[in-house]
Amino acid sequence: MGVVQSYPGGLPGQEAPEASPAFGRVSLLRQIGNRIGAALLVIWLSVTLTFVALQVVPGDPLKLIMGPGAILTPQAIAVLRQQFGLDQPILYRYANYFVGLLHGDLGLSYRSQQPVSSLIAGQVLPSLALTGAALLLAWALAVSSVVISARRNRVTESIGRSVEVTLGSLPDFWLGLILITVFAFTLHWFAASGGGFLAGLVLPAAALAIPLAGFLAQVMRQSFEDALDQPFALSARARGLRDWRVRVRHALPHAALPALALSSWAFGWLISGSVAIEEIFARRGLGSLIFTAVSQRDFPVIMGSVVLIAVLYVFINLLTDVLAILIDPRAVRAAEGSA
Amino acid sequence: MTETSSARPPAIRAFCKALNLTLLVTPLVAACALPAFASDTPRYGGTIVLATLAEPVCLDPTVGGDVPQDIIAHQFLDSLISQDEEGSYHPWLAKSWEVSPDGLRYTFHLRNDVKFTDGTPFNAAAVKANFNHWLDPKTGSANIAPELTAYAGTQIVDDDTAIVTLKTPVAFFLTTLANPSAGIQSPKAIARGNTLNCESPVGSGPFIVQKWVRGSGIFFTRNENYNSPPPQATHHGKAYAEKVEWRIIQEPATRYNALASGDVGVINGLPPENYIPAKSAGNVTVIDDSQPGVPWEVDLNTKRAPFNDLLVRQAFRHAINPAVALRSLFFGAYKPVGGPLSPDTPFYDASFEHAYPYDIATANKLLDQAGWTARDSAGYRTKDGKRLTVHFPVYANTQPADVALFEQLQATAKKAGFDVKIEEADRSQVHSRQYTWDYDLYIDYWTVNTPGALKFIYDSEGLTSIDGGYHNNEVGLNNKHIDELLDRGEQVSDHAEQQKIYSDVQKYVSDQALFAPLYVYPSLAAFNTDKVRGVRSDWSVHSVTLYDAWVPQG
Amino acid sequence: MSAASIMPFLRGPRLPRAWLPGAGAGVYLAILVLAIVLIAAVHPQLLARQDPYDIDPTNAFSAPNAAHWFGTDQNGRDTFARVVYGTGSSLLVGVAAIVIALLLGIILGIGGTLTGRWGDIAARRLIEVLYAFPPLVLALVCIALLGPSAETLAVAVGFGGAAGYARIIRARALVVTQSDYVFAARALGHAPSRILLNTMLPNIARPLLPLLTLGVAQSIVWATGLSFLGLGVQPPSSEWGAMLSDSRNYTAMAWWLTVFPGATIAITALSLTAFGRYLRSRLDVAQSA
Repeated sequence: MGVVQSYPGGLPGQEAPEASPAFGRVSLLRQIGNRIGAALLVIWLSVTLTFVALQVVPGDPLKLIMGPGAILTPQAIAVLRQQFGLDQPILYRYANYFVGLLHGDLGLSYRSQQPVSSLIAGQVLPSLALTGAALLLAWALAVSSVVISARRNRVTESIGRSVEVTLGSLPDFWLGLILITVFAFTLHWFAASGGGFLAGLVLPAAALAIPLAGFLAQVMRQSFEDALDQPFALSARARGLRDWRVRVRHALPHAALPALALSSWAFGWLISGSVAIEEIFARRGLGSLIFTAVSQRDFPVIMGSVVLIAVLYVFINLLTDVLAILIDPRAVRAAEGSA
Repeated sequence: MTETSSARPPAIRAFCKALNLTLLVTPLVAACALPAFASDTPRYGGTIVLATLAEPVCLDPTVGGDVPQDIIAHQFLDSLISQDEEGSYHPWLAKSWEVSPDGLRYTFHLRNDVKFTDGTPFNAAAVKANFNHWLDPKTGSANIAPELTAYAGTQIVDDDTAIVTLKTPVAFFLTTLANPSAGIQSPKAIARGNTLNCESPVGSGPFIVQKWVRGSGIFFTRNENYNSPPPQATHHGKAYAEKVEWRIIQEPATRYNALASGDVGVINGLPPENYIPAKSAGNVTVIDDSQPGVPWEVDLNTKRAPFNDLLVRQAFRHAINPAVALRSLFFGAYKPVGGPLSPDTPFYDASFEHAYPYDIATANKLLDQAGWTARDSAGYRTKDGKRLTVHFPVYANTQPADVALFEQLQATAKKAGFDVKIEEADRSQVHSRQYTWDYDLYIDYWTVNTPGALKFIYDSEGLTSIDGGYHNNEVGLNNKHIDELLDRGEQVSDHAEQQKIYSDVQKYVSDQALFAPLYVYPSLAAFNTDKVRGVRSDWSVHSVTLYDAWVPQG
Repeated sequence: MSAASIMPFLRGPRLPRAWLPGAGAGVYLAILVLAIVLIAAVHPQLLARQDPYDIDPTNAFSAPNAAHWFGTDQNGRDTFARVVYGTGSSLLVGVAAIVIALLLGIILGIGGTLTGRWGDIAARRLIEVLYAFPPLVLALVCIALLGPSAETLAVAVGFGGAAGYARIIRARALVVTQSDYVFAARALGHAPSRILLNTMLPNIARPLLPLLTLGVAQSIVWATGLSFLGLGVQPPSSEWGAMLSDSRNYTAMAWWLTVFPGATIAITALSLTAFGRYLRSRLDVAQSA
C-alpha cells in the first residue's frame, strides 16, 4: 500500500490560495498562535474520531487481550478490566486519555502490556528513514525527467510523459515484489532482509519512490512548461542565459511549489501506508505496527499512532510552508491561506 | 528429525550455490549431494541469526501465550523436567521426582547449584512463585494456565524440595511441565510486573535477553555461567554461540531467500513452496519434523445446521480431497492424515486413516438421504428453500498455500452441492466469531505429545466459556461417555487399557465425522550450513534449539 | 464554437481527428484498452473461454501456453480467465471509491463555503483532520466494521481519498463564489439552491471530470494494496490485487502469476490516466477559448 491515490490539491492551477486580506496586519505572534491552535484542534479531533471509531468496531478487546485458549473466568476478566481501566465509564476514559497525553503517557498496550510510547518510539526512525529516502529518490527522478524532457522535441516529450504516467500507475508492492525477486533473490545485489542501514533502504525506498516520482513529475511538468513560457524565462534567454540555466534556475522553482504540496501529502500517506513494503522487505515501521494493532484491537497502540501521525503531519505541513517561502517568497500568501 | 545434508568444502559449496542460481542440470549436481568431509568440530564464538515468522507479543511465555512465545522462551528458560522423542521424562532443573500413588502429590528434588542470570538462586520458593505466576489472571495465560486447572498448591519443604499437589489426578502433568511455557523464571524478575517482565524476562537458560527491538528482532548474549543443559543436549557448559539475533521475517519468500543467501543462518517455518529447493540446495539442511497431537484440521460445528446432521458431516468428509492438494500445493512438505490424531502421537490408531475416501457419489447419496435433494440454479443443494451453506472464517493473513488448499476443498465440495464460504477477516473478528459459535468450519490443531490433545478438543468441559469467550471444544460435542473415557485415559496406568480407551475415543469422533483432517502439522525449520551447524529440534515444542548450535569458521 | 476547438477540424482531413480533436495515437490506444476492460467487466465470458473457478490440481503452475495464455495458478485455474473475471470487482472498487470520495468532497468542500463563517471554519478543520488522519487506520477500521469485500474496499479507499477532493473542490468553490456569474445570479435574485445547482456545481464540477478518471486508476492501485493484506474480496473470487497477494510466494517459481495481474493493473491505470489527461487538456482548451 502507500500509493499516492489522488492528486491532493497538488494539481497546478486547481488550488487557488485562499484570500487573506488581513495578511500583513496580523502580527507574527498571532499567526504562530493560530498555527498552534489549529494544530491542537487537529490532534484533538483525530483522537476523538479514533476513540469513537474504536468503540463501534466489533470485537471486545478484553476477550481478545488473552490469547485464544485462555480460560476466561469472571475474576480474570475483572482483573484485566481494572488493570486497563476498562471498568471506568467511557467519558472518564476519554477525558483520562487527554490527561495522560499531557503527561506524555499513551498508556499500556493491551496485548504486550508494554508502554505504547516505547512501542511507537522504536518504529518512528525506520518509518522516517524509509519515507524520507523514498521522497528524496522520487524528487531526484522527477526533477531529472522534467528538466531533461520538458519542452524539447515532440518525441522526447512524449517519451517523458509516457514514462511518468506509466510509473505513476504501478502498484508499489508489486514493484517491491519484482525488485526483491530480481535484485535480492536472483542477482544477490542486496540482502533480502536486513543488510546495512543504507543498503537495506535502497529496494524498499525505490519501490515507493518510483510511482511517486511519476506523480511528482506529472505535477511538475505542467508548471515547468508554464514557467518556460513566461516572459521572465523569455527575457532570461534573451539575456543570453543558457538553456539548462533557465530551466534549473528559473523554471524549476516554479515547478517545485506544487510538487512540494504533493510531497507533504505523500509524506503523511507513506509514513503509515507502506505496510506491504515493510512486510515484503521485513522492515519494521509504523504501518506494520498499526496493521497489527488494529487486527488485535490493541486500542492504546492505535490511539497513540494516530496522535503521533497527526503531530508529524502538523510539523511537516509547517516545514513545507517554510520551504515554499524559501523557494518563492510570494508563496507566503498561499501558506497563510491554507494554515 | 532428519538431516538431509551437511557441510562440504567451500569450493564445492560455492559451485553448488552457482548451480542453484542457474538451474543447470549436469552430472556435477551429484557432487552437491555428497556427504561432508570437512571438519565438523564445534567451536565457540560467533553470532547465530535466526529468522522466524511471527513476533512474540511478550517474551514471558505466560502473558497471553502463543507458539512464537514458546519457541523463543526455550532459548533463555530451563524447565523442571525435559522430555525426549519417545515421550519419556528426564531430569532438568529437578534432579528427580516422586508421584504419590493417588497421583495427587508430586515431590520434586531440585538442583541446588543453579542461579538465574540476575543472580537469584533457583530453589523451591522459585518453583512456587512460578506456579503462582502461571495462574495469575493478570497474565491471561493461554499456554499453561488451562493445563493447570487441577493445581491445588505448592509446599516448600526446604530449598531443594517442593511438593506440588493437585485436586484431581492429571496423567499429562509432567508433559505440561516439560513444555517451554513452563520454563522457570527468576521470582525476582517476575515480581517486577508484566510490563518489565515481558521485555526482559530472566531465566537460567543458555542465553540472556539483551535487547528487544520491536518489529525487528530480539538480541541475546550468552549465559557464561550456564550449567544446566537438559540431558538431550550434546555438550555441557556454556553455549557455543556468543550471540543470537532473533529476527522477524513474516513474508515467507523473503524469509527463505534470506536463508538461501546466508543473510540468516536458521529459519523457523520453512515455507512449503521452498521445501524442494531447500532439500536440493547444497548448503541448506532441512529439519523435517512432524508434530504429534491433533493434526491441522477443520472442526465441524455440530451446534447448528447443516452440520448438526451426521449424514451431512459424513457427506462433507467424502466431498473433500486434501491429499491431492497437499501434493500440488505443499510439494510433499506436509503429510496427509485421516484420523483424529497425528501418527507420532502415543496411542494413535491407524484404523481411521482412510475412513472417508474422496467420493462425490457417496457424498451425493448421503446428502439425498439427509433431505438436501433440490439444487438451485448455481448448482448448490437446497432444503426447504435454504441453500447448503457452510461458513468458514479464516485469518486474513493465512499463508497463500493454505488459502489455496481451502479453495480446493471449496471446489470439490461444490460438486456435492456444498456452498463453502471462505470468510477472511482480521484475527479479532475471527476470534469473535469463534466465541459466539458463528461458524460451521473452524481451523484447529493441538500440538502436544499425548493423546490428551483429544480431551482438549472433545471434552464437554471445553464447551464452557464465560460471557461468550473462547471454547476449546469447537465441534460442540457434549457426550458423557466420551468425557468419562477421556478422564479414565488420564488416570489409568495400564498401557493396554489406555490404548483401548483412546482407540474407542478415536473411533467415536471419526465415526461421528466431527472433524476433517487436512495435514500433519509440520515443524519445518532449516539452516544454512555455511553459517551455522548443529541446530537440532527440541522434542517438547518441536522447534529449534540453539544451545548446541555453533558457527563454523570464516 | 470557439476558434480553438475548430482548429483541429481545419488542420487535418483525417477522420479520427474529427471526433477526438487533439488526440494522439496514445489516446486511441488508451480508449481501446478501456473498451476491452469495460467488456471484461460486464461480459467476461466474451473474452475468456475458461471457467475462472475450475480447479485442476494436476495442472497447477503451468507456464503460459496456447491453452492457458497467462498460465495456470496454484490450483491449476486459468490465470487469463481469472484476470478477465476479476475486472468487474477491481473496476467496481475504483469507480465506487471515487464516487464516495467525490460525494464526501462535495459535502465538505462546498458545504463550508455556503454555511457562513463558522460553517466555513468547521469544514476547513474537518478537511484538515481528514488530511492528517492516517489513511491506513481509516481503511482498517472500515474493514473491521463492514467485513472484507469489494464494497468495503471501495468505502475504505473512498474515505481515504475524500480529503484530497474536498481540498480541490473547496478551492474551486471559493473561486466560483467570488466569480462574476455568481454575483450576477445573486443580483438577479435567484434562490440560493438554484444558484448552487445551476451555477456553482457545473462550474466546480467541470475541471473535476478528468481528475475522476485519474482517481479511478489510483483507487484500483490502492485497493490492491489492501487486498495484499488479505482484506479484499473473498476466495475464490478473483480480483487483481487479491491475485497478486495470492501469488506473492510463487514469484520466483511462477513469474506469470505476479507479472500478468500486475501488468493488467498498470496498463488499466495507465489508460485511465492517459484518457484523463486528454480530457483535461480538452477542457483547458475549451476554457482558455
